[in-house]
Amino acid sequence: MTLDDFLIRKKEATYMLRVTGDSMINAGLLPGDLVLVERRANAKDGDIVIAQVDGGWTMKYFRTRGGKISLEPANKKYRPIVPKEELHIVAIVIAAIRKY
Amino acid sequence: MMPDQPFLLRSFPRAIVHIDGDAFFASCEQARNPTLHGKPIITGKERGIVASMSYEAKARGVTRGMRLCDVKRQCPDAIILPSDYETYSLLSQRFFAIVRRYTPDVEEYSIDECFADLTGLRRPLRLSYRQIAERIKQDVDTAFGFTFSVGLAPTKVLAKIASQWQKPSGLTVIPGPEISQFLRALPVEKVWGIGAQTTAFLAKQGVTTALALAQQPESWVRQQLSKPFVEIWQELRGQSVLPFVTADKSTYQSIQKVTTFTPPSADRTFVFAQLAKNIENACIKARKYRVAAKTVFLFLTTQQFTSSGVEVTFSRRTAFPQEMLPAFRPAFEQLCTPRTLYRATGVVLRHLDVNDTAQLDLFGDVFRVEKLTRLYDAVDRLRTKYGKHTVFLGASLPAHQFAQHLGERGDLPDRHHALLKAETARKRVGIPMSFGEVT
Repeated sequence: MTLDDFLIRKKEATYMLRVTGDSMINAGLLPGDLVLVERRANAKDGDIVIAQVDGGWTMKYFRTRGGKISLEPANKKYRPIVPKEELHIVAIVIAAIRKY
Repeated sequence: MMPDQPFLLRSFPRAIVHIDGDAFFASCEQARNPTLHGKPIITGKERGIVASMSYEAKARGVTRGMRLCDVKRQCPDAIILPSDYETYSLLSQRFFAIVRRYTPDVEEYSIDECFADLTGLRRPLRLSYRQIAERIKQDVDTAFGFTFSVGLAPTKVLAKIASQWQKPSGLTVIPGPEISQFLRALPVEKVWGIGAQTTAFLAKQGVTTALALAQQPESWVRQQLSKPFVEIWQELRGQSVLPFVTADKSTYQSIQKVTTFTPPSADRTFVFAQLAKNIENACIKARKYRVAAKTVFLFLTTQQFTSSGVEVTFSRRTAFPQEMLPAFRPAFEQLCTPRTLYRATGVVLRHLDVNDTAQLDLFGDVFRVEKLTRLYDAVDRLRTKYGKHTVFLGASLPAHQFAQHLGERGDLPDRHHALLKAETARKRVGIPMSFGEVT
């Protein structure tokens, strides 16, 4: 098995992004890390997702507790985002890469 | 034939889909950068003309091939980006790979469109042809984050009409018995393969719609039109005659490499360097496909867009730039007019055949060729390991020293600036990068 096969499930839908913020720091995702994301339209509770918020992309935990959808950061400095309208999920995070 | 009689009674004697990316290059840019969503996006900055435009730009009157200075007047807030062919071709390969999950019979028609033959797949997939087309559309739309338009019909020509029927994000099905309804109002020049000349000729004969052409009797068609148009006529009537080109491109009739540079140059050393680099690139491709060329055609284009060329023949087939250059230089000297500004150079390797060094000429070339073969084996290994042009001819050095386009046209795609650790300008990770901030 190559590292590609190990990290990637659906090759055709997988993209790479660079993390710039620190909102997921307690999930072990640091600024400068690369994440592999898989494009899909839906996510389940607990997935780390890429969502489109205010014209930009944000990476957060996807929460559906109590029938309410929210985007939860892994850093006490930030508050959860509760979308007012429809939430647009772009992709889910499937792996993180950090090269030393 | 009666005018209202259907051309075809069965829905799908063959089931062919045509799948077409909606504003593909511009959509690739929007899909990876959320700040571009909903805005007029144009690619082609390095060419000076519009290569692709988003639907927002299209709505503002921007058309393909428009000059960028005209775009700025027509649509001042347009965002003009340099083409990132590396990413587009990565995504293009993914597009074909997704379609191949359904059928091996895929014809890669261009970077952003393909034909696929679904005939006979209903039973194994337990889906109707329409459902298979829907599944493919859903798969590509999801994987890319932008839409494709899909047409399903009994022939390639009709499938192409179907995919254009409703754009963007359409899915149009033309079953055999309904062909006439789709052709009735369609201007004949909208049919794939019918150009301005044929349109004008047909108009003189009173044929202006696709339906009018399809309804002409066979004798008239065979008498008035050449073979490719007889085939189009058959395909319009639901009779599939055009072949599927599914084979990977593994053989070449000729190999062409062209470079355009900004600003134009009158410097002979520089212009020759561009040609030498063209030759190196063409030879890399030739060696990759294990072919060699007997002749090379070289050409120069002046700033006034006039081209002149000359052909050079070698004593035997070769794929080594080292061997081509000596024969090349006199031809160049003859071709290149002093004090003329040139904007482009190009070479075409012709009369290609399998690179077979067993048949050497009688002048004791064996050792020299043996040596060159070993040399270029090493060059090719270096290229595989460290990237293209790790070593190159001294003659092409000036072409490597400067960016291809100076000034605004030389802006490089973002991907070229954001190298990852251990990436080089020539070797990058084969996964599309996105540059929207992920906070």
